[in-house]
Amino acid sequence: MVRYAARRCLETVPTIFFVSVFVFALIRMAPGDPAAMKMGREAARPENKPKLEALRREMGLDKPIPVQYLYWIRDVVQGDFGESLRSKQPTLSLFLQKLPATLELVAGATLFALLIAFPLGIIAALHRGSLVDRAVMGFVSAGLAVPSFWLGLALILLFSVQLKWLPASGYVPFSEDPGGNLKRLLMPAVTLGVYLAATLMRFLRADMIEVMAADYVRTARAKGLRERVIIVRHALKNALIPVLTIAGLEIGALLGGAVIIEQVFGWSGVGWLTVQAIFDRDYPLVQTAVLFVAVGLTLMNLLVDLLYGFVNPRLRVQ
Amino acid sequence: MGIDTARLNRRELLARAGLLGLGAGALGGLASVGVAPMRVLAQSGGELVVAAGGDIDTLDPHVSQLLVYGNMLRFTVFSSLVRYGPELSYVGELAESWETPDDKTYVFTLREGATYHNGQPVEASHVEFSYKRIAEKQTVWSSRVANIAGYEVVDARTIKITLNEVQADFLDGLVPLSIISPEIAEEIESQAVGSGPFKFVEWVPNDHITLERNESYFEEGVPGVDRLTFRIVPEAQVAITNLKAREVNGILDVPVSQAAPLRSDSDVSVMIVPTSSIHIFELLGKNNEAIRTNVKVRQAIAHCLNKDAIQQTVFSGEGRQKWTFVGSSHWAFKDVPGYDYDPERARALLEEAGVSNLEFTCLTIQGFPDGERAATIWQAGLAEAGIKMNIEVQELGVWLDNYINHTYDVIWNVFPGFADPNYFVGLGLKPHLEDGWTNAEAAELADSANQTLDQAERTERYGRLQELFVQDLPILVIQEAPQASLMAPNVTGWEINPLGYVLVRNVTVE
Repeated sequence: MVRYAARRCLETVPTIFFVSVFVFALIRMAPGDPAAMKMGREAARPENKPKLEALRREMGLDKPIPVQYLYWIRDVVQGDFGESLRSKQPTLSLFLQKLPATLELVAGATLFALLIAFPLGIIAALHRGSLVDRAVMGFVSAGLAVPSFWLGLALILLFSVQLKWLPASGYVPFSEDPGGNLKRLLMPAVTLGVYLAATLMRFLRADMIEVMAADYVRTARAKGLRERVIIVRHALKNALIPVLTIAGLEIGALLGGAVIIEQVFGWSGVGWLTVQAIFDRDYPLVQTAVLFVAVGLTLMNLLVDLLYGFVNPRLRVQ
Repeated sequence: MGIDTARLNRRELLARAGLLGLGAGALGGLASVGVAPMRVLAQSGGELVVAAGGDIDTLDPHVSQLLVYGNMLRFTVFSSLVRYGPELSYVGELAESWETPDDKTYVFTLREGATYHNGQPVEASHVEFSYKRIAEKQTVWSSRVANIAGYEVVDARTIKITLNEVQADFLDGLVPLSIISPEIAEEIESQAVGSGPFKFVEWVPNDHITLERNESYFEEGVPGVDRLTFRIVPEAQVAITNLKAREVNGILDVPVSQAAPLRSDSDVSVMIVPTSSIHIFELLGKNNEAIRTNVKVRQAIAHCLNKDAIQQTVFSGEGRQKWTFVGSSHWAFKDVPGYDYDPERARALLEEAGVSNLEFTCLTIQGFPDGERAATIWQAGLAEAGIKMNIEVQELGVWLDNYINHTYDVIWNVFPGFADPNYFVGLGLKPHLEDGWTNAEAAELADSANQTLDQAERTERYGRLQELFVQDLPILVIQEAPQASLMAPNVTGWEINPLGYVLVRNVTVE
């Protein structure tokens, strides 16, 4: 197990290296000039052209891209992720400042998804074709189809404007106001979690149906085991393996969804920060944010792989 | 649920990215523009929470070039020598009065007892320090002090500024230039200390800015609220929902087409105010020879622009159609007649010009639906005359590159409100006069109109320049754009001036 884990860890290094090259090159290949973005339309004034050039030099954009990359990597290795072109603040602190909000949002969404996907997915599988099953499948279709932007606004209109139960938006750190934090988390977490819940439910239901028809389940039944033991110990554990993979991948995808949810609910996190940085062509900030998210996702996949090895001993041997 | 569906919207783009850069145009010379700002009388107290479409980039007033910085900090926390009064006249802010012994000399006397929020008195030497710092920072603000030849601090309350050349819009250029002391400048990036009606409390990037009342502000009854918070809400629809839930009690800027339908909604107050901001199509790009070199072709495509349809669709019938660049309520405005919607006439003009099968592409900006919709209506009109126009929607950064380098056939653009025509001449016309618009008379007028303080003379020169502008059509003006704010019905004193600045110093919440 230790060797397996060590090998999988080492394999993440080239992944992260390639991500760093790609993000560095891609953002620079995209048309658009950070200096012009900073100066705005005033850059069009003939007398401002030299200022634009000076700004480009100040931003280090006059050097060839490979040279810029080497400078960047040299600094990154020393823990210096550079300053934002837009605000001149260190990109690392900008990113870390926003990270807790996004982690909380993703954790909340995942928790919500797991809490409803597991019971409902299993019940639907066990009562295939029943009213409950059809209701669950209806939820799955709706959950996969509904745009999160729309769902978010609909929830706000219902729970904030009509019923006045929940605050419409905003983020308060948990440490400052735990109650306010959780109240504000509720709607964005649900909105973000619906898609994951629907996906998990679908897979869990399908897997359970398949597993419940498997020989070893019939054997277990024949042994006279209680139904609950069969479901939990024999069926569920096996049905879980594919679901685990999906969960690992989809929780990563939640970060993409968070970009929109964060803006709808004024939940100021890294998704919003990154998209803004891309539109601003704030190269250093984009690089830092994407690099960290990539490392995060790689670690997430690593964790899933290791869990896999744990759940399924066959994989450790190869 | 991917990143691809995320986009910045118009409000955020307007507020950020400096696209609109500086609204502070110049009001020339001594007269004022005849549009009164919309305004409601106010009492004191309460807390105001305002939704803004985008965040600021820095706390430093000499560095930030964003329009939203003006709304959030420049005119709340900081003070300048002069600010706009009613009808865009100048009133002293830190300056109690000023004299002009000759056309190139200004002597400002500072208000007695004015202090910064840290208790330090405002001194005349800080004016020199601030303007020199602005010049050094090499931002768009530096061009406003570029004509200053020298400073003389006469005493702690008096400073004499001399200019190299006569500059009609000098005083106006000072409106957005905040005054700070050298001590404040050292820590300005973390502590915004000014002398304005509000004190800075905190800025959480991408989230909110909080300000509180400056008890020792020199003007009685200002500000109207004890606490002022700006919350960053990028999507207009989300901001409106927040307003209805009373999470915020005002929204800085909402597209008119989204604001107008809310007039029948008793939950919100709608304020739609005419401004001198204009939406335009620029025609002198490098990529299309026929349009660039032949004025008849430009006139032909102007005949295909159905302005009535655009006004109804894009602006809910609001705003004023015109063909020139000067604000329609400005003394220098000349209502030059333009080109009626007449595709048949366009066909005839094209034939005269010997151009057939004209096809070109119009660039618009992603997140600015106003531009796309205007272009679509134009496209239909052009098709009537057998002209094919393609519309390409570009991300702001890409659009900006093409705009600056003139790499387009035709490009849609929006200019922020401005008072003095010289603002548009410098920023909108000069780039074309240097590249594409060959008209010696226009080039001469563009300079000379700002080099005299005589209003009659300026009116005449700008009048002629406007005639040449409409005749040669370097730029096709669509119309003036109104600006809309939304607020809760219990909010009073909200003000949008004719430049589109939202001013909240007098706002109260009952």
